[in-house]
Amino acid sequence: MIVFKSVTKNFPDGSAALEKVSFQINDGEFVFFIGPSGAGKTTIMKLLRRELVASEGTIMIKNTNLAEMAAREIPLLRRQVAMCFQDFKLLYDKTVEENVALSLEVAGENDAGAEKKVKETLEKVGLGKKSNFFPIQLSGGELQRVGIARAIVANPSILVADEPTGNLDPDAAWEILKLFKEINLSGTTVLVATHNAEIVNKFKERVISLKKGKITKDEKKGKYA
Amino acid sequence: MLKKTWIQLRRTPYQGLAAVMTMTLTILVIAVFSLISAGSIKILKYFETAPQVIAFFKPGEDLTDIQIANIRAQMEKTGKMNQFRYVSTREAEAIYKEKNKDNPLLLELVDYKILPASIEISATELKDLLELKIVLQGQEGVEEVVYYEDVIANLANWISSVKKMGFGVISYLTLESVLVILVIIGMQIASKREEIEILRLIGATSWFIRKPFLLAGMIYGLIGSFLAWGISYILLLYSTPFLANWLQDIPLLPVPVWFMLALLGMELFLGAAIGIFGGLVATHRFLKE
Repeated sequence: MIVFKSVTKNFPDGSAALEKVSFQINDGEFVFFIGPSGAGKTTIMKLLRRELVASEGTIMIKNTNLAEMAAREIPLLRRQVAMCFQDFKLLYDKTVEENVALSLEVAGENDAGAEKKVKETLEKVGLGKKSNFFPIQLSGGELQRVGIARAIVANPSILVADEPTGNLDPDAAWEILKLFKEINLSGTTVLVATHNAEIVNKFKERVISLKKGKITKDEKKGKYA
Repeated sequence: MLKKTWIQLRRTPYQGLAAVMTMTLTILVIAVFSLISAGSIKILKYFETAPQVIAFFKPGEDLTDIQIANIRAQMEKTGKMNQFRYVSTREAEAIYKEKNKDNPLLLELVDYKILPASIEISATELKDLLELKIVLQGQEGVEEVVYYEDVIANLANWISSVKKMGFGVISYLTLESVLVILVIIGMQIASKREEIEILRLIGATSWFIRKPFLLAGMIYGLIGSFLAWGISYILLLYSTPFLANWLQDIPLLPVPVWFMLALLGMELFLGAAIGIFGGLVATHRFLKE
């Protein structure tokens, strides 16, 4: 379970990215965070992975207070709360397979076990036949699939995605969201930050709307309006 | 991990070459100073254990047992004598013949009748040599006294100077090697900034990120050490005939293989330590969150 309790995030220049934001997300939920640029979506994603620390309030993941977490525990948190990025953040000198295996490598998985898991995950995201391709040889949608495969290969409990369809055409974006839904159905909590209203409407999942760092709506499995 | 490090080394051949060359120079200087120090200490030991004062008597005349016992007693009375040896004219002849066995002309010209008997003495401490020399000079029949105090004192001073100079030069070069490795690994870290950022985002620990860089530093150190050892060994083998001629009776050469292997072990350890230390400083400096 993820709990945000009166979370405020101020930046050094004095501006507030989030102001007294509170919500709770149960295990296995699929949640969209929507809102215009500067609404605070990315800040929430970063706070969840301790890339940022809340100025005020409490963030709990599975009863662990992120503010009290020691620096050496942060890598473990980031393996449990995996992330997909708008710009994919892939290594272009490594193959698809090597990029995906990186998550297992940092988790200390041995080569034999990693090879099998990478193969299975690439099949799952539809890139089984492109495991030896380099990122430069792939389309935008495929690059995002590699990013997703890398995020889920180590079996995280939470998957967060920050504008995962921002650089994709509508068809590719739709396919990526369908993939997120499949991952969610296998038990992973999925949080997606987006400003793509059309997709959010089609999915009819829980939607948390943000504006200027505040929650304006929290619709349970509803329609984004 | 090794594969990753190897790829990293291959991608930066000139940086690697600079690091290895610097390490080689540092370790080579350490090896040369180690060899000079070890050799000097052995030479000093040779002189310390060799007779330090030799009194020669009239040629062809041996001392009686009573005379020898009398001189020995006087020397022992000082409490400063370490070893005492009487060399008769016959023994002197045997020594002479052994030393000149390859020169028949010299062997023919000399026999025990023209060689002097002698008494060889070593002191427990170098500073007491002069006193022993004076006592020996006062003995009846002594014609000449040869005495090594200056040689040993000069040698001891020389070893001390070599050690001081070696310490200074080695410290300077070690610092230079650490700095070169620091800069080179710093450059490698800078060129991999994006990859490091991605690794952090997917949950890599600091240690996981540091390991390839530390390993690279260690490999530079090991390669440099091995090359330095090889060069020092070749130089030593090449100069052995000349040195053996110069050292004459001093039993210093050839340098035993076990000594060279021990030197290799020490150099590899030192090289790896310098490389890892440089890598640690670099990763600490450039991999801060």
